[in-house]
Amino acid sequence: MAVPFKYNWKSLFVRRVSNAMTAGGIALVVAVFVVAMAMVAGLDSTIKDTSSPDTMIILSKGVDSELTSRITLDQLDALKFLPSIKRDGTGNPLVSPELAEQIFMSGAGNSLDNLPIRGALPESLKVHDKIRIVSGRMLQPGLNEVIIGKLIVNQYPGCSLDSDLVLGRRTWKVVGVFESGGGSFESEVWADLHSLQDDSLRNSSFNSIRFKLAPDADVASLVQRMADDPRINLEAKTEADYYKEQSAYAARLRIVGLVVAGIMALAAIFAAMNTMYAAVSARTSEIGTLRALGFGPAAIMTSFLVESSLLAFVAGIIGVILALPVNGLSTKFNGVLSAPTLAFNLQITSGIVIQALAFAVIIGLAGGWLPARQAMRVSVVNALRRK
Amino acid sequence: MTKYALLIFKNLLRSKRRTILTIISIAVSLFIFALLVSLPTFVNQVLADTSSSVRISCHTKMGWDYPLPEAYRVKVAATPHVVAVATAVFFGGIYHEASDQFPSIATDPETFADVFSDWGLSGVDQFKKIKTACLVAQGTMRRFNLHVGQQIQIRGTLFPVNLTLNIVGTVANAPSQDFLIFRSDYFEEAVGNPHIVDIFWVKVDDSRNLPQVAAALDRQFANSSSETRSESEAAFVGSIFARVGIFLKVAELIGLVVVVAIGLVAANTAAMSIRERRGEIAVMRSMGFPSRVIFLLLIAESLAIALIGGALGCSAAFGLLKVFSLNADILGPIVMLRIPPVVLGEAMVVAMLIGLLSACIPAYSASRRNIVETLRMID
Repeated sequence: MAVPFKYNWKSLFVRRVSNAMTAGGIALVVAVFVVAMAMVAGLDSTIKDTSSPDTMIILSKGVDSELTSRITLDQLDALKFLPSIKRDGTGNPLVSPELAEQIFMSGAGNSLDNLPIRGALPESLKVHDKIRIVSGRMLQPGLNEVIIGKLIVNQYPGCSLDSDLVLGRRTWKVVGVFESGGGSFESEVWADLHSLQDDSLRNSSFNSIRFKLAPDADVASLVQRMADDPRINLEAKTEADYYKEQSAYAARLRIVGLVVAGIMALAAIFAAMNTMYAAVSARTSEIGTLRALGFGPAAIMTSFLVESSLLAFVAGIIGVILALPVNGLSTKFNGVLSAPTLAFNLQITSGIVIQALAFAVIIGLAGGWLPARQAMRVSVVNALRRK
Repeated sequence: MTKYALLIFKNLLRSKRRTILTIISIAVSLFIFALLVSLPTFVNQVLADTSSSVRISCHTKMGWDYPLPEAYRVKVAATPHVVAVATAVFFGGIYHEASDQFPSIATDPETFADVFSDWGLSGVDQFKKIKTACLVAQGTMRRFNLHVGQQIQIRGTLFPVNLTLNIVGTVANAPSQDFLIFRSDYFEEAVGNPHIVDIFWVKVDDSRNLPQVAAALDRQFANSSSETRSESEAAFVGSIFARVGIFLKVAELIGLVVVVAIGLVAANTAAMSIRERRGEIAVMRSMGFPSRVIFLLLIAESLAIALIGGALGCSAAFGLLKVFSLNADILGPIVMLRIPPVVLGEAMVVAMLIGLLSACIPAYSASRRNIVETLRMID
């Protein structure tokens, strides 16, 4: 027979101050966990895989990002009519040569942000099929017009619809705001490829080329061809693979967050253990009485485990509530010197809340385990005699 | 005095389990506190180090994709109060694998050592003589197990050429521990004379003249096709660190939360251990121990626990980063992170405060409690 739940609930209020302090400690640990995870979740969404299965990206060989890649016009010409590349109705290949550059912007706290700016062609939207203009219109080439991602709207001077935006050597007109269903594009400014090449004195070079695969394309031999053909000599990979490489940094950040939360949890477990040991020793005679009434050792152990996880669970709820204000906080992420600045919002998802509560219960169970075992082993006779 | 110390010691051993659990939880918390607070403190120290500098970073106003023309050098050097000018171009190549990257920077062989005389350079004479010479930061030397005299290959990415470089010396005291510098004349020749510069590092005669020189430089190039942004080295480094400001803030915040949480835990433990001893305390007082002594004994006990925990946590954090800096390659740029002594001091002060404050209330009330009532209640 199990010890009634009500007994545990009421017991928590017997040692009110002490339990409140333990719960406070656990709640703070859970709050830290939630904030760290909300940050990682927000960051994840900025580097979210928004790839289409039939889109590939071409970069210089052996580089790990668009920014360090350089492609010439000759290389583009050598590859754009390969048969594995999809054509539109008029026979033009669906190829998007792109420039990926960065512009200094003054960010929060004197920081020198690298605002990413992408030079693309009107046809590029056929390759970037997830880009949607949410307000304004698409830019027209040659008129110094740009469109901006929805995450940087109002984040920098000039970053709003119909404003003048000073980037590089000229002033551009913001004519549209776009979204891409998450991903890093939403932190970018998009300009006309040729205007941007002109502005940054890049002549006719590109950083990357994206293209659509023809329905019956043999991907492996296409990749091989691009690597081996001396006129091309580039590395093609699926967009999904590219995103996977880009997310390595956030993955490392997630590990740091988990390690910090884990170490704090360890401290919280010891604290919970202390409290539960005290609870067990203070209630030795109660335990003896329960045993004498016929509750078995397993029931006693379960009861104490329930009590400690209940305490931790309540603390977990408080911790989540404490962390809630950070939800939706918008901030920016910068990597090292040359990495682009990505805008993102802290996100407390339902998944994080569930994880946080589970995390709290684990703290409670781990902290309660040894004390509960001790409670189970209390000898009935001794416990009652001591009184 | 010794007898009191002995009494405190005995009391600590009374409930060994509780003492150990409390020490461990304080140690773990201060461990994480020391690590987290080190990060922002370290950044502030780097900034303080460079703030006394007499160097200006004169770079493009637009972005790293908009380099400055090399022809600016003459005008920069001719600006009043300028002592020396060294150019810098980010070559950004790859050593072996894509993950083995470190900044490779092309600079003036003649003036570099004058501008960065405080960086602990070795092999400067060779660097001036040999065209393919390079100087490598100590961290990079350790990371890839390089040695002076070795020849290395750097594969270009931004610039599609490969460099063959000879290590002739090292850089010991730069703010970053992971980079390589080579000669700009070799760069220009290999890349096909682009005549570009990312940063003009300008040394001025006196740090008081620094703002004036920076303003003069920017004025000179205003309304040109490549405008400049000149700032002191500290401001430049600061703007780079400010880019990760959010993480530094979060680290500090978590450090603070940890301290509050551990304060709660310690207070709880102190209260528990004192409550259990109410009878004993009453007996001691009825034997003639003054309240003040009882109070101090209880505080000292809690202080001992907190300080032992703090010392354990700090040494663990210190040791961990020691180990990491030995295995530098895992962490890349974080290699240079050390726990500044001031943080160790802070952590111990935090431990002390936790010990003092957590026991204050329960110890005070225990030392003032009515003896007769307590004795009656306990029995």
